[in-house]
Amino acid sequence: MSMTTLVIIRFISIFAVYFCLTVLAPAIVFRRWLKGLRVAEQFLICYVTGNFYVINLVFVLQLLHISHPATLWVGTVIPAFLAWSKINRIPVRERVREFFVAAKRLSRGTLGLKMIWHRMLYQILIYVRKGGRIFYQKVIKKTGQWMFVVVIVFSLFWIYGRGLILAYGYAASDIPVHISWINQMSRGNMFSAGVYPFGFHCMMYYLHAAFGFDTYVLLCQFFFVQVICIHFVLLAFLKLCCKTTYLPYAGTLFYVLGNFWGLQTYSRFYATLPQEFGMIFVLPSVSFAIAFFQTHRERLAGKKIWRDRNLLCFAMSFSLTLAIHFYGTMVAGLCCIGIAVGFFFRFVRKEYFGKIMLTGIISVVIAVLPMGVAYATGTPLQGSLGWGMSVIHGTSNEDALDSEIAENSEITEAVTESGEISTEEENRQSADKEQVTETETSTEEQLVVPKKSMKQKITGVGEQLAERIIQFILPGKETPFGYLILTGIVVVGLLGLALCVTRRTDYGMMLIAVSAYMMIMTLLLDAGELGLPVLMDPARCSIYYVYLFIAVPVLFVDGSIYFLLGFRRLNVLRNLISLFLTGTLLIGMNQYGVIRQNETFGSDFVSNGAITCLSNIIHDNADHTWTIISANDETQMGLDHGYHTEMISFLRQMEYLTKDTTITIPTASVYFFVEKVPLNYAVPYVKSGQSISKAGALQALPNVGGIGMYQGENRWILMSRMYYWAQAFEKLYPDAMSVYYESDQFICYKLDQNMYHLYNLAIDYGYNQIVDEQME
Amino acid sequence: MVSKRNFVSIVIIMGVLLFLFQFSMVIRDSQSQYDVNTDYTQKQPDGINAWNGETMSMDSLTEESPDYVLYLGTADGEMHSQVSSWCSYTKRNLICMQNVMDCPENPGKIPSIAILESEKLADGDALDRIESWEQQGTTIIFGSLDDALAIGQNDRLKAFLGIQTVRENETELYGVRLFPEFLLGGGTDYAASTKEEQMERQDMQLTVPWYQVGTGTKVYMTGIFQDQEMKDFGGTLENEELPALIWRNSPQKGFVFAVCGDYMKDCTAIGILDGMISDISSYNIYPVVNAQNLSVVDFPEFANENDDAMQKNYSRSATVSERDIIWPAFVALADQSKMKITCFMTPELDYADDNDPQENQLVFYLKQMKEINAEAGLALNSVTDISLADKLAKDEKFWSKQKCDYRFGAAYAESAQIEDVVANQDTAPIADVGTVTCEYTKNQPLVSYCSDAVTLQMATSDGVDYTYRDDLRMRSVQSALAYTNVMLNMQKILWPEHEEDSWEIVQERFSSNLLTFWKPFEAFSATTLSESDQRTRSLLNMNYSDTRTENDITLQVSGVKDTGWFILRTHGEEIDSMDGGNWTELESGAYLIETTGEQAVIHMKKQGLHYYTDDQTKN
Repeated sequence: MSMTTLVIIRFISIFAVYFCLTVLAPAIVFRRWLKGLRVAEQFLICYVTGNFYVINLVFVLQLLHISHPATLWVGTVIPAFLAWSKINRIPVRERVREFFVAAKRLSRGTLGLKMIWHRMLYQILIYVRKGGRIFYQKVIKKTGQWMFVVVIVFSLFWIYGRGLILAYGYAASDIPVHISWINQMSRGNMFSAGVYPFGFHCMMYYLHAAFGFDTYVLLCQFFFVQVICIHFVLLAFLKLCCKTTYLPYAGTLFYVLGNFWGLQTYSRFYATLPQEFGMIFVLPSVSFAIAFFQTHRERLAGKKIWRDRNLLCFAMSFSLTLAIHFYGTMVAGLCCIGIAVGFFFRFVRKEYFGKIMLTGIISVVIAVLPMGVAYATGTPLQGSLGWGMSVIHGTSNEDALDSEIAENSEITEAVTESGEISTEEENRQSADKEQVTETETSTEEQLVVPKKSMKQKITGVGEQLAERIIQFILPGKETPFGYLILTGIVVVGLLGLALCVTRRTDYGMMLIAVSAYMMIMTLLLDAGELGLPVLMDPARCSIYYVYLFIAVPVLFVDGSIYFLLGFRRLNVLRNLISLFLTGTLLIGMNQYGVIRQNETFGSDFVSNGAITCLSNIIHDNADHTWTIISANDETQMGLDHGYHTEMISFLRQMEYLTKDTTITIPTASVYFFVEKVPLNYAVPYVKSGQSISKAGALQALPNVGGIGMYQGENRWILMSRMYYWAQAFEKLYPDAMSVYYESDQFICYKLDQNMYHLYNLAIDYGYNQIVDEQME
Repeated sequence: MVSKRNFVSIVIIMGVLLFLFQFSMVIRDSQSQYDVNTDYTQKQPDGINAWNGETMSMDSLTEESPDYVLYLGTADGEMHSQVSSWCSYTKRNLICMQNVMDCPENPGKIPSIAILESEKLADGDALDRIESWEQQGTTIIFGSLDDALAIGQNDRLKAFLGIQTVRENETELYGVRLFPEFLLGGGTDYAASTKEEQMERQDMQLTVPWYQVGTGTKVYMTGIFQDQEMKDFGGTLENEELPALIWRNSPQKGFVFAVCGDYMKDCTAIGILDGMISDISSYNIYPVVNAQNLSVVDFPEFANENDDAMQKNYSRSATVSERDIIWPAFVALADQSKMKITCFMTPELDYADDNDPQENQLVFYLKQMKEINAEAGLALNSVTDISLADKLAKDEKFWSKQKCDYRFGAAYAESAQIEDVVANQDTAPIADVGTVTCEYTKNQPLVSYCSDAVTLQMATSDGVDYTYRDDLRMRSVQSALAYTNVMLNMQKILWPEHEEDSWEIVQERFSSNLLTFWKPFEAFSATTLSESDQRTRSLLNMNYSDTRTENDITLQVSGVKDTGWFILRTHGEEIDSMDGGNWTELESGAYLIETTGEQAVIHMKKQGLHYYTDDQTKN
């Protein structure tokens, strides 16, 4: 089987399991409740509920230290079954009784197998008919929309999905840390590195423990599941907002295909990261909050919070953002402020205010409770959390940053001890430090600048915002494009006001809300320049910014059409116009060459060869009978199957060789991963991309701490050394040492050992130092 | 009362049953060709076509000269005869020299393999020369390491042999551990779990120097200590520190093997040498006999001799005991072990007494043997002092009276009688005999031509007193020749001297040994001595060469009448298919190859990963 096939099968399995768990199963359980709702709403409700349940189930079982595949299954299936029977009013006892009666009759011979078979066939026929009817209603009658769905899916596959089969390894340096944390959950040790939003890890752990997916496979491939969810949640959100049918598809495709967005606004989508997983639940929070405010107060009167579907779902989705990643919560919180602005007149009413505030508090409590319990039982806070807390407490940026840096250095140390790497955190720290410096500089500059008039100030801020947008959102474009975005945001707000005036209040207020939260997001993007607290560095903020911004052009067009052609009778015309505009947009994007095409795929952290070999090694050998010696993270990637030795430790042990130097690895097979063209591991150097060579092997063995020896030029030296060691050892033991895999980029050697008499791997390979005269 | 009708019915049914049961037996008995030896092949003077290596001299070698093995040591010594046999079986040319320094300094062609009788031959300048050969790719084999003290003081030799340190000049082992893949049959520990077993089976060389080998070496056999002894070393003794007995070092371009002990002085050597060559080659294919023989000597005996002892032990005469007690046990053993028996009959063993052989027994045994695909041969020994010529004359009288056309293709003789047998090879009743077997002795090759027309197929074990050394030898011979000849001599049952000579004890030990230790070799062919004779002739007459291109191994075979047998040893590589023959997997990385013509091509499976990538260049 080719790796491509394997990767596709793995991805389909992961996607199918995740989709069944978070969409299909809730859809079956809540079938009666969901009847009559729009598909987009049904999707959001099911998706949020499914994720919320699974993540919190894992939290509960982990905190009780009873998490196990069996308890996970029991905790999923039994409550789902009970809820399904209760909600759908299935007479379970009656059904069980009927079953036993049938069994009794069957055993007595008064009921034949033929009859049972006929009954089953009849039932199947009924289900097939029902399915057919649903298919006709939902698919055949909406062929046009489904075609756009297919186009979106195809686009996602083309732009992101190819990464699965072109680069098997993970695309972010902090993934080893997350693998480690998930692996520790399998060993009953949640919050192994301290209290941290573990929602993402809970989901990964669940998929790993209950369905047997290896954690490294999940962390390498789940990113595309995330990407699909991110875009389909956006589509669902737009569908719920828009009055026309096709503009949401245009918006989603505009987001997926546009090549004008800054690289950093989507580059993280190629990696399975908590922030992007948490991002999925931002728009559902917004959507359910808007839906809540769009509910007329008469309907809310006397209704308890837990009876209100929108509030419940808002609570769950907001809670999920907090349980998964703080950044998502910040953005969702800012969006809520925007919504409060947009629906200000409803927000301040007691029917809305009390409920939404209480729901917000409950959702925060739900998310924080597992972390609080862990903290109360003595688990310290993880570094990132300390930083988040300082932001909430409003301490200065610098203090917070310093504390974060201090904490992050602890993580790096801890991570390095287990052979894991976290350069992204370091990058973020440096970016944040730069940010602080920039802020300080700008503040100083402001001190010497003469006072400006209000008009000048507003113009100045506008220019600053436009430039910031160009810098982070539309790099390479002219400043007017920045103004265009700002204008769009403002115009949507004005359009909302106009719609309110023309008594289309719900829709109008929604537009104002969107405009308001986008304004807040714009301020967040430029917070440093404006002297506001930098809650999030602009690079990260831009990811959310673009994602949320898509609603602006879509709602502008949709709102305009609705404003001009708002009558119910013109529904078909509105849809035709939206179809025309969508088609025009796609053709226009193609004509003007603004469609993303030349994506580059690759992992700077793990080579395809390494993943291929790891997959084969796990397949070929019994668990715990092999060891990999590499400069990768196979310690965590293969933790459930075998062992790993750090390449640097291995080479250091024989660097000064005496006749008594002994290195043995007590497993039947030992694999050596050598990159012929060493990766940079996020640290490029002058001769990046050069092949291993004798010149590299002649260099002194890197003697740096942390992960420095695996980065840049040091990695080239190590790989060169390792290669020549393998060559020398193969000459000594041609029968035992063999090439397991080789490509132009990567080579893996395999050593078969006699377990009763292990090979001494410490040899003179020509580049280490012999300190024993006898050996010379 | 039974009615007449019922009575008639019962009689008919009984009659039908009787007919059904007896019918097949009567037909089988009447159709039995018991007097035809189906395994027999007309005796031919094949020995004149036997393969003999080229006569070579070190002084006249050129680059074009064929590859050769250089033996350095005493000619006609025990090790030399084993090396000579191995070269003959594997079709290698052999040159024997007394000393290293007798060899020319720059021979026209360096040896592919140099076997030193002792490390004493590699002192001073001799070591320089050996080192230079090794640097050019020669495989050096030290057949024994006698003087641990001298080795310990010679740093150069130690480094050349891969010895890190001579820990003790002499140490007492508890047992020996043979690692897998070196010999066929897997790894094993030659160490008993009980004192009785240790007394009964342990005969390995346990007092040895303690050579601790260092980096760059690979060990095939080590000494082992008891757990208590391991503790005496402070509990820190690692497996890798145990005394090495057979190992390999890789100093430069070639390999250096060392054997500590006397394992190269009997036929164990041939398997060890094949194991060494297989280990350093990407693949190794060599010709074998492929014959698993079970010989029973002096059975049946047709005279009621030693009647007192037999009556005392079995309450029966000798012939009745053989027929009613012993023969059924052999039938069961042949069935369980899936081996074919060759019974070496004798009219009588004691030619001095008045008990003449009974003439009515032969047909019964021949029919019985036919049933289990056994073969009848002739036993040429006796318990009385009688010349072979006289015995043959007396026996011929008996055989001629039998009026049986059975042609005896195999005979048993004591090793001392082999020359007499050759001298009388055209005398009845052994005129048709094409192969002779004898008990195991170091003085003769395992399989060879006694004369141009008669082969010798020596026994490899008696199967009753089976020691660890016997087992190592058996594995070694199986690995080198796929040959075994387990010989049970019934003389001590018929003429018992000790209590242990009673049949129930001998049978229990024999069958338990046979069914245990020979089990890993069931893939080899079970043969009678006459069948085995043909295969032996094939081996001895054969010449072959092999070449490999990519995944195809091409085998060119000559000197074989029909079928040639080989063992192919790879390092885990698997056979995909074969043209010009068949193959059977013996164990992982070892195959039995049957060639049916002059050329055979073995297609090896392409080595591939389960999950492959398109950019993969090699695996």
